[in-house]
Amino acid sequence: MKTPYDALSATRSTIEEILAKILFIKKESRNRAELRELFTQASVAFLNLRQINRVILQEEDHVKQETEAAKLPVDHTTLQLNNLLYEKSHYLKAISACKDFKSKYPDIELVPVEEFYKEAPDEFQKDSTLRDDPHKEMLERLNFELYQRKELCKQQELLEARKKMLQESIAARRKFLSSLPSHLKTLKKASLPVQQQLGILHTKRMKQHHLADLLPPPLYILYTQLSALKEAFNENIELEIIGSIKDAQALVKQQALKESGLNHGGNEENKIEEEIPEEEEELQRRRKRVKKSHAKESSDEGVYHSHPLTVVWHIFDEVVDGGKRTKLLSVRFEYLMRLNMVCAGVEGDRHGPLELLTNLFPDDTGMELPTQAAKLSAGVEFQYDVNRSCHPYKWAQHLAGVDFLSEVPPLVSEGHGPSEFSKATSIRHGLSAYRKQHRVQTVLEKLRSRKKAHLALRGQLDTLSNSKLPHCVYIEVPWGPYKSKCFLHSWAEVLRTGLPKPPASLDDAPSLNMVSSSAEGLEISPVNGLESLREDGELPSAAMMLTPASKVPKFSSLMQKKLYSVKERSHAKRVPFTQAKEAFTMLNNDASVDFKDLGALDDDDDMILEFAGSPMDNTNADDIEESTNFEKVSAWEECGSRTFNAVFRGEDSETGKIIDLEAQVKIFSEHPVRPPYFELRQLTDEVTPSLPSPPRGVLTVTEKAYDMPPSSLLAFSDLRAMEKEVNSGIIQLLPTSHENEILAQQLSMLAMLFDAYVDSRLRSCDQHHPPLSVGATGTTNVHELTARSIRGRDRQMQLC
Amino acid sequence: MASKCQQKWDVRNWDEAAYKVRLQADREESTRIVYAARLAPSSDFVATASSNGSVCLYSVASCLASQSMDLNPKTAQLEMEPFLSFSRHDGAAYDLQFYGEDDDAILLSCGDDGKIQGWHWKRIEQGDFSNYSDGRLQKPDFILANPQQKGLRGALAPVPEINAIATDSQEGYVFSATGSGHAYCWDLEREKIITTFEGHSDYLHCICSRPSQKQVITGSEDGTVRIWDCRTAETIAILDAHKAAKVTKSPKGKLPWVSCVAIDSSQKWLVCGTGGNCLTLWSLLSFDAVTRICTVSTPQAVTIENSKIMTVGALPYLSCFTYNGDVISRIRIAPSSALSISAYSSGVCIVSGYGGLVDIISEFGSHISTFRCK
Repeated sequence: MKTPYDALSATRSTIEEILAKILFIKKESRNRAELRELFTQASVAFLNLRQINRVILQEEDHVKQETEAAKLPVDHTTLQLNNLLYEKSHYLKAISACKDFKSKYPDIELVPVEEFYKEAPDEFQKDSTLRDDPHKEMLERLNFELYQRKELCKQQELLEARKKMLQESIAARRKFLSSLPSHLKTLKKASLPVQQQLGILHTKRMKQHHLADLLPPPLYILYTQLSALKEAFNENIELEIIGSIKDAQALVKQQALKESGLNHGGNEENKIEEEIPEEEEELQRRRKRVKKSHAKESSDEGVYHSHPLTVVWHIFDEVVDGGKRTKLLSVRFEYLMRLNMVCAGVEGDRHGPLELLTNLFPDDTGMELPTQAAKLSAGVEFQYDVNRSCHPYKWAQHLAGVDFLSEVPPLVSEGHGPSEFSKATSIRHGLSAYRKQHRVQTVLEKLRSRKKAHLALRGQLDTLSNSKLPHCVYIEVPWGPYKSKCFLHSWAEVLRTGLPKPPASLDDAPSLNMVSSSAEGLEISPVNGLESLREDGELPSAAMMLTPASKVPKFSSLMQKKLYSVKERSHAKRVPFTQAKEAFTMLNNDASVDFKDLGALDDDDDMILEFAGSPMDNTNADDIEESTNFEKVSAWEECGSRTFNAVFRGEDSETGKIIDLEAQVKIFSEHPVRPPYFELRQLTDEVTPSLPSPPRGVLTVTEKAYDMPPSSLLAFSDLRAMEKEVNSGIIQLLPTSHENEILAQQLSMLAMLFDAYVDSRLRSCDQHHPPLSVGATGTTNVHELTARSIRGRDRQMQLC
Repeated sequence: MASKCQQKWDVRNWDEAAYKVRLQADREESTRIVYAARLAPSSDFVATASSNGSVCLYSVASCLASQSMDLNPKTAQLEMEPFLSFSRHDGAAYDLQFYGEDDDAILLSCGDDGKIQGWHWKRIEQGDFSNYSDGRLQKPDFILANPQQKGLRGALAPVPEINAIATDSQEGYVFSATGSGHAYCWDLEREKIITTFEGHSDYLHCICSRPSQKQVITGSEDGTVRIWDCRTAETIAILDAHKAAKVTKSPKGKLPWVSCVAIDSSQKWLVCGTGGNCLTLWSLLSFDAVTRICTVSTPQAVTIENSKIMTVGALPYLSCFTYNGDVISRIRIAPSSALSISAYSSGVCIVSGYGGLVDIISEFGSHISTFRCK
């Protein structure tokens, strides 16, 4: 179809053609009739045109309307589009924002996975999905951790609260503490009288412990070990440190200065000094006393210089009766600094310390310096002063650990050198051995039993000094129920002035004297038979010297020289020797009984023999005699021993003859472990029975020119047999629990033996002895019923 | 003794019980008596019998060796460990004798338990210590046990001790002097008593044999010496040693006991010592007393050697007399009271006694060796 625009352009072209034709006609003015036609045509064309125009316009309007209608949805859609675009951009932005989001979790220090699985509750552990899903796992971990942390936080809070509380209480207490010393001081002061009253010397002990720091190492060990014993075993002992603190401190200071040039311990000492003043007045008094007693000893200050502090050990009886402790003894320990040894002495008992502590253990007289080092430092000539109250016993050294401390200097310094370590270990080893050996317990036991034995002994001796036999508690022995016929006629101690010397120093003539003047039964024999016999005993050896067979003729010139000097010496000695012998009232002609005390003096005589005899003859007479008659006792066993002289008197009921038995009783310092040693002699001798005159023709010769010893009722062998019973047989019969009354037991045993022997010998002298072979002789008389009373080569009594 | 092991005894590891035991042992040792000490046939050893019942052999050579080491008289008291100990007698061992010569010798010991123990010397010399244990020979080669007497109502009396033994090696006899007052003659071959000598009224102290006349001489506590005929067991003579008189029967009243008897090598002289402090010398031809010597102490052992009467007693001296009673010498000896003396033709004599001491003395009176038995 033709579009209006086509129709319009066709119409316009038609009009243009008609008008072109009119114009042409007009111009040529030709036919006007044609013009009219042409005009009408033109008008129709115009009409057409108008119509087309309208249509166009209409059409246009229509289009416009249509467009208008179409425009609305377009607008809506555009809007929608814009919205979406906006939305999109928003999302993109959000995404990018999300993408840019930074999580905190990598910074969190989470518990490692393994640990989480370990600690987390079971539900997580069983959940296998969790392991596959790391995110979930992470979440769970986080959650769990959060939970845990929260818990911890709670706990922390709790703790914080507690801490705060504690801090508060601490502060309060500190406050209290700061005020406490003053409180305590007042309390202490207030309690002092009470302590005194109740005997709880707490304050004192504290002081003592404090003082212990100032002790030299040996005494420190002693102190600590003893106090440990006291505390660990609840032993009935007390310890005390006595001495001047100031001196001790000065000593420590001096030592410290010497050791390092620096005053290490300065602070410590100041501290100590601060606390001293209150104690000072008390000490001042004490020190004065100590100084006084020290003044006497200070003459020999060099060697005997002792540490200002001493330890006193009070020993009480084990058995507490009625809350009251009976004190047995106090032992004082002091430390001699130059000799590095510890001395012990019995406190307060100045005249008999030796007796009590000497030979507490075998060979420990306290007379000799115990360590080689001490001997060296004291010099060869040095002899320990026997009159000092304290003696360096070996057991004291062992108690103080000197045996393992010896390498350590007298006062241990504060230094920390490399050697210090080894020293410390050696001390530690030493101490452990010390404890294993039960040294302290052993010494305590020994001291207690020793002291008890001494008390028991003293009681027995007191009874004896009244010439009564002490009572025996234990009567389960053969002589227990026996009532002796003989009685104790006298009892006296044989005193030795001065203390026993070591055997080497014979230079001071010992004087022996008898205390008892009441012993009228003892007669001083005017003729010194002993000596005459002794000299006689030398005869063979002197004669031997002249025999050609003597094996050492070469020595003769030498011997003569020596003999001369010895003789001279022996003359000088003879005077005290004989004096001593005469004073020694037990002498008689029975030379076989010599006494130990004299034995020591006999050295002079020994020397003569020593040079006079051939080497083979060395076992010279006196020596042999000594060692046969008596228990071989060397010097240490003798130390601190006391000798007593007892006379038993028996009476023959028929003839009224008096028979005296003398017993020399030696009580050793080790009593009763080493029981008293008896030496017997029959004192009153019978008149020598004259031998019956022999038939004619028999030549009668008497062996000696000098008086024969009168025969005694009791033979030598009888006395020895009695000695044997009393000295050694008794030990098995007496239980250890009654050990302390051994002297009493021995005496009553001796009384019984004496009775028995006298009876037996009297009977055998005076009466016809029963024939023994009952069956053989066939005769029966009363005597046959009695059992044989003697037996054997040496005619020993049969004792049941 | 004490000084040797004093290291052990101090507060460190103190053992009081052990110390007491040791003290007791020391005391017992110091009271020991050596009742007999005789030279063994081979002369290298001294055999001892002591109061604790032990019979021991000591080597003379080692005595001499240790003796010369120590010249200090104070410490020269030598303590000897026995070379060999034999099984112990229960109670004291009172005597020991060697029977026979050289290789065939037998060591015989007797004691308080009434037994004679015999060891063949050959075995000891050859070192046959097959039953050696606990430091001593356990079993003697033979034991001759004393018979027990029957008392009232047939009860057995206590076992009598044997105080002395004597030997007659020609006949093979051993004589024992017992506590029951009997002396026995044992046939060593058959180990049987073949003769019993009874007649003494108290126990016997000593015995010696006189082989040439087949006689035995016994000394008793009853104060008499009896001379017996071995073959008939009859008493030939009774001698009162104290009065020095021959008697016909045991005298009434108590006489001092006869402690020792000895004859000389010619078997013509008898010497006996009594508790009355005298020695009497008898001629065995007529049984008459010849000399009586009053001694200083009770003679406890006597012997005649080389025409010297040697005696020891309750004093530490060895006295030698001639037959006339003149003193030849007096020698100081180690034991304070000696209970045994044995003299040998070489001039050596051995004494022993209290304190466990044995003293070997040379012909000239010097001490060859002195030791204390351990």
